[in-house]
Amino acid sequence: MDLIKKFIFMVSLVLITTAVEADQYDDAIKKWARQFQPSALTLEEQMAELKWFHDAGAAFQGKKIKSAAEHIKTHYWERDVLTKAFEEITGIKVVHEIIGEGVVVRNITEQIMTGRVIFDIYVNDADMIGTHLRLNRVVDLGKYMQGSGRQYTNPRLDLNDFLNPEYGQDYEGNQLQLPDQQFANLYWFRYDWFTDQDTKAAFQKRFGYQLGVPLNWAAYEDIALFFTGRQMTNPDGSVVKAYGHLDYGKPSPSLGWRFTDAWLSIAGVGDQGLPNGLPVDEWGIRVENKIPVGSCVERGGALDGPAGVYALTKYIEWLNKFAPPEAKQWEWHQAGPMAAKGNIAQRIFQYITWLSDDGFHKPGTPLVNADGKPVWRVAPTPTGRYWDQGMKVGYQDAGSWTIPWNVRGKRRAMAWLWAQFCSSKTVALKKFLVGGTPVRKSTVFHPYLTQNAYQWGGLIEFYRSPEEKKWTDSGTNVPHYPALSGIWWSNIALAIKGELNPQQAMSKLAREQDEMMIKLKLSKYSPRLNPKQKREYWLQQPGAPKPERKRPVPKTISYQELIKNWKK
Amino acid sequence: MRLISLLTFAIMLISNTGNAKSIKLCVEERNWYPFTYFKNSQPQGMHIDITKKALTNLGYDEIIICGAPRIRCLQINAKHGRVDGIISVVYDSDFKDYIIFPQKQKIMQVDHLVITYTGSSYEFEGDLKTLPQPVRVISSETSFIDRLKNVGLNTEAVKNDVQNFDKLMRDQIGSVITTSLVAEKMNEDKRYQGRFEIQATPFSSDAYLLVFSQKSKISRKEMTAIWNEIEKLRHDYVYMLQIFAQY
Repeated sequence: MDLIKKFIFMVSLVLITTAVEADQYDDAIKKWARQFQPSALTLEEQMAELKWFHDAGAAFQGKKIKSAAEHIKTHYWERDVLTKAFEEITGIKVVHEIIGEGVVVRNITEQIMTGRVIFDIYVNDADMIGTHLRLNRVVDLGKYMQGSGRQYTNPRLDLNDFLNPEYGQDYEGNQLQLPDQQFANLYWFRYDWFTDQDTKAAFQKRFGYQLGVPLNWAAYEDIALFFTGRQMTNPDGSVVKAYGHLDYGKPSPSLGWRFTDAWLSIAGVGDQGLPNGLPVDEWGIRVENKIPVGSCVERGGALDGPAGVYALTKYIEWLNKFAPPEAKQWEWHQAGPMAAKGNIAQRIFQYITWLSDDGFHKPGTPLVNADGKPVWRVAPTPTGRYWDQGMKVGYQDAGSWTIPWNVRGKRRAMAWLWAQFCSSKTVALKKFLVGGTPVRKSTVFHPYLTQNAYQWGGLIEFYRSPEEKKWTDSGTNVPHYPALSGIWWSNIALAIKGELNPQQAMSKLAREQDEMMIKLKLSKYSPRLNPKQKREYWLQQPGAPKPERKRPVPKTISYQELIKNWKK
Repeated sequence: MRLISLLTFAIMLISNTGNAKSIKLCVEERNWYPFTYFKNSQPQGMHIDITKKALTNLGYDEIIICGAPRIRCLQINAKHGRVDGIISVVYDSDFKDYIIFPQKQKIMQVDHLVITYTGSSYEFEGDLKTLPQPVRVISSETSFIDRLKNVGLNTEAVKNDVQNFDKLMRDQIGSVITTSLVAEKMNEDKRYQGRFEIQATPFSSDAYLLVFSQKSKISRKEMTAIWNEIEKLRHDYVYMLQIFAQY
């Protein structure tokens, strides 16, 4: 009898415990679904999606994984909010470490090349796709979803809803990385100053053409000259001595990607072609049949050609003449929100990542009107003199979930669940409202954003436009992003310091890039350098490397006219 | 005039010889790609590159690196002063009477994993006591052997990874401790392919060091300078990314 009583007691205990746990998770699901508002899903759909995460993670309750991401607002929110939600819903603890992007690159490289288990998953820019596809040392997520990861793949993942999943795909379209946050590099300017009648008249008088959004670097340069040192007034009443340009110049990994992302491509170093120029891309690398064959002009590349030298020359010249003097000491993350101070008239390359900073939106700050609307706008970046129609018109990339090959079994499954959770439809819109880095179409086309588009200064129109596809990342041609990118900033730093002139710096950079490319150990599409020819030979061929061009006539356009392209 | 030239040359030669810095190091004869291995009888690998670069930066123009079993490197070559130091050793207090270990400067951190026979439901989650026995390790990894013996595990130590994998395939029980890269390499070999599981949780993460012989004529100050140079290189962002890319 005692035994039967004991048995009944034990069964009751188990049932009660299970019921309590079930209630606890149900409560968590309800709580978080309500917190993740607004969303592209209805509340019921959100709860169903969160319930799926709960069920899929049930086998891993009490376990822990580690992920890494760079220090931007989106990832801080993932760390501070999404890890809590994920743990309460699935029982899996995630330590989401926020580190510098340079450290992310260093760690993932060390992990895939030495087999250390530093993190279980990284948010790694898809700029590294050329490396990943050649090394074969990250998990092919496409295969994983179809194979052993099938039961851990969210049926509502909906890859077609991602804005640019192709950034994380290899030449064959296999999905090696999944976008988590996407950021474009756009021209940013003070709409209020550019439309002020007195300012416009003064510009017209001095330069003989209308102040507007610059279409080329010649106009950008004139505008920079015009505003630098000019006394301007902000909506909050503050009066500032303006600068006509904003950039950064501290020797650091971020100085290198300033060039590989922005300066060279928009100067016009590469060839026509999307997503990247073919046969020469914006890194100045000539690629034939997926094989990189040279960076220097003598091998058919364009890194040390006239366009590359022009890009570096203008970068240094404008940094010295038109940017705040302290900008030379800034890195990417320090320069990012600086325009919000209210003394910058325009910025040629503004990563939208930083536009989520309070300074760009908060009433009472220099950049916000009395009606609560921002006085800045974003527009396509003006192009350099070597840029031709048919080339990429800007840079954008996606920080993308990437699982190194040596993360296996349950750890891989937990990492994959965490990645999908952070990019899920349930949280995506809310995440955009915090960090301003969308990854889903259902986010950018959401009615909430239609009603509130004015807060983003043109960004929503940009992401809704088919033109968005012309903004692309470094792409598949760069054979080893980590090894090559380091060469860039160390050489550019020599030019900033004046130890080398721009031609010397670009020639040294091109030579070192070629030397490094032949040392790379890759499992496929390894570089094979072209034999050297005279520079003139290659400069006379069609396309990149392009011979010298003269300064074009400066051109501007009214913002209203320009934005029509994005609203088509 | 000719005589003066000859004399000048001779003086230069003598003075150069006096300043020449040379060092003799030992490294384990083992295929431990990409950290240390031998190609055409020459030592290669990330640890070799970092050590050589540090020494070159400090002006060493003669760097001799010989290969030998690690125990011979430690207990004969270093103990009796036949070499100045050994590349890639994990700290082990058993050797401190004749080996000088750095305080914290390491060449590199290396993780080891647990390999089990396929089909086993075993999952390693960090508790050494649960490891399937016998636990097979490389005999030169003395610190692993100590750790395993301390928790009372039956340990088998052999010279190389292939022997360990062969034994695991033959007996179909127990486990092997090795690096992720060695395991992946083994998985490409048809004899082993699909016949083992690589456990997800690492067995260990250890600092691999350049250590010196107590009998080396290199001063303690110079040893510290070498360790510091290695540390500097390890923190050199560009250099390390390029080292990783070449293997």
